[in-house]
Amino acid sequence: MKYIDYVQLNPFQKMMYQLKNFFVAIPRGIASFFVFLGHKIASLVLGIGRGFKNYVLNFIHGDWSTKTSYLVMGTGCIAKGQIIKGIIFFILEVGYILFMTMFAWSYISKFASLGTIKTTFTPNPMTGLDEAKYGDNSMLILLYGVLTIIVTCIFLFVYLSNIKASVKLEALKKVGKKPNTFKEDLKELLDARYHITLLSVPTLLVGCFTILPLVFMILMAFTNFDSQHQPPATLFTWVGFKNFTDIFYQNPKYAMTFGSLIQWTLIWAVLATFTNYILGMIVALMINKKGIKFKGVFRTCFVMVIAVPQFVTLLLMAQMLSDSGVVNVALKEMGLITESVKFLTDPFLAKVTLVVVNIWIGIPYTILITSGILMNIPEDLYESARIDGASALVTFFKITLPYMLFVTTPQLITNFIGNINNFNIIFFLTGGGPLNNDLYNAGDTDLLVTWLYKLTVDKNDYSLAATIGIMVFVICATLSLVTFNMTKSAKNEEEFS
Amino acid sequence: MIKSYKLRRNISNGIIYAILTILSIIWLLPLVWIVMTSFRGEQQVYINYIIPKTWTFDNYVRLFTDTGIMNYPKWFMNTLIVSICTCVISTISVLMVSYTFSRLRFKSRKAIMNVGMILGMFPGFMTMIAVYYLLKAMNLTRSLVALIIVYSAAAALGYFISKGFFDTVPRALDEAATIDGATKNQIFWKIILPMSKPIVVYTVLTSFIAPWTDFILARIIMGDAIDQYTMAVGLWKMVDKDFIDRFFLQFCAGAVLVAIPITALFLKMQKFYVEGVTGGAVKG
Amino acid sequence: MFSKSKKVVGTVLAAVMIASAFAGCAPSGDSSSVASGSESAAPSATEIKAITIDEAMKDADVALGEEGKDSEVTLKVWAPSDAVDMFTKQCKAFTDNFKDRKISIEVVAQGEADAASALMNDPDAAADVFGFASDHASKLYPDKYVAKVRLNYAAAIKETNLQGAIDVATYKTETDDQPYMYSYPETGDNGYVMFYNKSLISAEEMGSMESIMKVCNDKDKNLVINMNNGFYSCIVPLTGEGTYSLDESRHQLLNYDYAKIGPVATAFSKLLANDSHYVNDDVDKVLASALKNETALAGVVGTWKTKAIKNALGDNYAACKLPTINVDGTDTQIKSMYGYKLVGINSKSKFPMTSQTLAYYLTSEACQKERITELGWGPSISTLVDSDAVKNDVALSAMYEQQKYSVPQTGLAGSFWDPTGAFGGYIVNKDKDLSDAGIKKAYDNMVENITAQ
Repeated sequence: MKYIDYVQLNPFQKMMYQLKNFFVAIPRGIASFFVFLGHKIASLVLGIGRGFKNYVLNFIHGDWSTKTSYLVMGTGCIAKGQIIKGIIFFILEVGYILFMTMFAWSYISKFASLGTIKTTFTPNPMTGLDEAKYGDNSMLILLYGVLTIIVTCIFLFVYLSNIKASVKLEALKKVGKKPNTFKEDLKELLDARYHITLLSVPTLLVGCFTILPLVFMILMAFTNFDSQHQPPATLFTWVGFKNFTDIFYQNPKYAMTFGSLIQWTLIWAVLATFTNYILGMIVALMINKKGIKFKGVFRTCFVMVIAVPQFVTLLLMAQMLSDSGVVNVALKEMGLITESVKFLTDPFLAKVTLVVVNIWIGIPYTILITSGILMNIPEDLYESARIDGASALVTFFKITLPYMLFVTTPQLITNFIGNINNFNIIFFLTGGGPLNNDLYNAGDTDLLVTWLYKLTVDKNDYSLAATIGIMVFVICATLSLVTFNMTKSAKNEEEFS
Repeated sequence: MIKSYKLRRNISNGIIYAILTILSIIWLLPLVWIVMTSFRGEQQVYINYIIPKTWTFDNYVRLFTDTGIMNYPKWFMNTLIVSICTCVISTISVLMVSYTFSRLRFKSRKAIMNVGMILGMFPGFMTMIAVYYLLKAMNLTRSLVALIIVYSAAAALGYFISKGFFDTVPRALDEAATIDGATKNQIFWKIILPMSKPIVVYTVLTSFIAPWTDFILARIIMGDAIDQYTMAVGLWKMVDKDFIDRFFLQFCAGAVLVAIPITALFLKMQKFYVEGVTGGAVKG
Repeated sequence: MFSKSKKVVGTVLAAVMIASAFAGCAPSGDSSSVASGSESAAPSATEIKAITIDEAMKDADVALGEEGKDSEVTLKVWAPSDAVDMFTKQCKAFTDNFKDRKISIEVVAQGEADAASALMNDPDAAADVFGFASDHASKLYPDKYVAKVRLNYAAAIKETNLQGAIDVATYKTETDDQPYMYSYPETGDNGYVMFYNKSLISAEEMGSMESIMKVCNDKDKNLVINMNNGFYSCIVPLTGEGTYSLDESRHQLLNYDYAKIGPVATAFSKLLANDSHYVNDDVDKVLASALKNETALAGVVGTWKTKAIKNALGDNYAACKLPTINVDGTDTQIKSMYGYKLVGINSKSKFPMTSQTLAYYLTSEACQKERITELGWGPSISTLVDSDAVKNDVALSAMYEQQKYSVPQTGLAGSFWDPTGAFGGYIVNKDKDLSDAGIKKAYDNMVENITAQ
């Protein structure tokens, strides 16, 4: 269906159309994901096979310096004139060997068991006091094990490019060309291979502080690192998928908590995203309406809220909405209530409060972002609607909303995922409370992420927390996969350039 | 006919004015309340009336003089230092990454972009324990350097919006420059960047504000080193139940003082913020 | 006898220290050879001689070993925010006492409630000497996050402190041959009492919940008790004669009997749930304000808030033990949880000797006495408990009065608190099903959550 056909449908048809699309897309999205995954795996396997074949062939056909490069990196380059490059390769090899022997080996060798030597305390016969002999630290073994694996992968890549470089130089020599000097290589980094220059530092940082910790945490979901197994005093070890089966069915309390928190997380994300989106747009429309003066003043009033750091506004709101807070005091003075309204401690009311406060925080963003786009909606669309005698409400739902949805879907998805992970508002306002004994270490307003936080910080239940983190990821990834498949903007990226 | 149309328009405009005014008041009231409280003379945390009975400037004075436990001026400087460093590093990093993905074509481009997107979908603080121990291994915990590194390291993953912006800059410009013999390095610095003021300002603004608002990471990294706290952790500590009886009014004063520079900055820069977001994000 | 052989003892001790240092292990503790004078170099545990704090303070070699002679000793102490100044002062007195040693001590604000988890998160970055509440003992002792108390200090402490305080400080880990002391008793008052405004309600009226609520309704003032927090709401199961303990793998065991606890829960529920003058709120944050505003006339809160509440109430400040509540026609005294604050030594401390003696000093009679008057902290030393300083302090005397009706705060797992808090919140929430069946179900839920593995 083209956009122009779509606009002509009535709101109900539109909704049905969207819904249909959504549900039709789910299986297709999931199916295409697996097909995609299958292709990738297949090509990966093939690639490895081909790479290995080349690896062996290059050794057989290579000259002596290429052959020595297989053992002593950089010799191929040095022998063929690229001295600095060769030295760099050599230094990297030496560095890697030092890294492995001096540091990594003691960790990676215990990776399979995560440590076996327990920490022991022996009382000193002289004094009666304990002397600690610290054994293996499972957590450090896991962390540095992951580090070693990543470093090894990088080294493998360098190693292969060392061989590749030597083979390439050999080929160049055969056709009688001169190899690049080091200076020329550097120059290339500013032009043809500029992406390497630009990406290297950010990739290194992301690798260190995002990928490495993430892999570590993902692996943690397959261990029993909980409050009973706290290094360095006690060891933890691999337990396979136990944590996953626990939260799905094995442990009824976990499963129950997980289920009800998923429900609330999704409800929250939908409510928080769409109330902000629609209400924000309506306010933006009002501010931008022709003939309304003081646009700047109104906009500034709202924008102030964005500018004040969010934790300040949230701590403030928590204070104001508490049982003895100013809101209750004001309501009492006005004579509307005699008993404090439990904005933050009544299970249902707390949820409502969260959504309302979220509106207070979120609408200004929507106003800022949508104002510009709203101005771009072709005026003649409104003109013709007005001539047809359509009311403001009808024009909003018939023209404005579809147009905006069409343009801002990616933004909407980002917001939705942001709300699934919206930690701050819950943590500062209700802290997940009120407590609920039907749930395991969670309250009525806890989202999956705040539960994750509580399990980590209060309960030291790291493995369970990691499992939940992975589940949150799965939810977010599925949702964005499905919706991105539906929208064209992801596919037609090149069109804009 | 015309008259009734005008009348109707006036009425509807009047309603809109009324709604907007009420909404503006609702949106501003909490801010007014905190300013009011920061000048309150009565010492207790909660009062059972709305307007304070005594007014004082003491809360602000104490913020800067009573620094034995809660060293507000130090926190302010800490946050400022972290903000400025983070802002410089992450702006450069984000622009470099987004330019690469937008303009340069190389073999694993799509794959790397996908990895970036996938990483963004894990709950951010899931990694905090590992990050803590990495920093500890580098002997950097409880230091501002740690915060700067971690904030800037994560920044590169936020390339999405500025990539969107770069995508809108016409490719013909690059091609013309390439024909004139410019390298990609020169194109980036001399042609694309000068044209991208909105997104540069947007990135600077968002990465400058981030350290003022992040709470969890700073809290974990800083532990008990109260002198190294950033604004967010420090102010949160002030209303912790151990401290609230002593520091609540100072908290209000402190919050007002934090909000003023950021609000001023933001109001001044909001044009760029909007251009950045609408230029980059919306188009995706 | 001791002063005579002091010099000799000191030399021997130093020699032992050096010997053990050469043998490759750090001089990690005390030497009981002190007891046996100069001849015997192989003492046994039975010969431990108590060293009083005065003796320790007089002899740097006994107290500190070699620490601080050649290089500087730097210690970090965690103290709650209110007490930072006091601890700084007392630590200064400690360093001044050992003028010939280089010791610098930094006192950092860290609430006792979070100290244990902060230590466990990163022992290397944690304080050397820190205060913690006795309920965290079960987290800290078994895995030896805290070091044993020097044996000859422990011998002296056992003679002077309250038995309850010694009990929560003592533990037998898997590797120990007998129970040892793992921390220094610091206070004997980690509990809560009823604070009230004596211009609004009399001491007799404070005797029972029913009369308090009547006065509240007559005068249109509130009573504040935080039933959402397990630390406070455990009064319900405890009044119903519940007790608790830990099994060997540190899971919570409950000795609860619903036949006794059920009626207590129902009594609380009937009395409070529908009364708009009962406020269930975070007392630690609101009680001082509420008493100052006179919106509330009384409230239950821990004695660590004494200072704030004294400031709020001024001349009308008063405190008493918890009241009785009418359960099925009999007035039953409300029982509470009663804990101690302890000072632990980080087992990873680089300066164990100095840390031990500092902790010993900070928990000594002189320091405890100073804290009674300055901070209102109740002592753990028996002679001080009966002193005038305590008797003159309303909150403390109420505290020690309530102690008779309380269960020690030990043998608790982390899983105890939240479910107990949720149950407390449930029974006073009028929107919940407060029928007998409803309360029973909430109770079962609580027990299940606490004891869940």
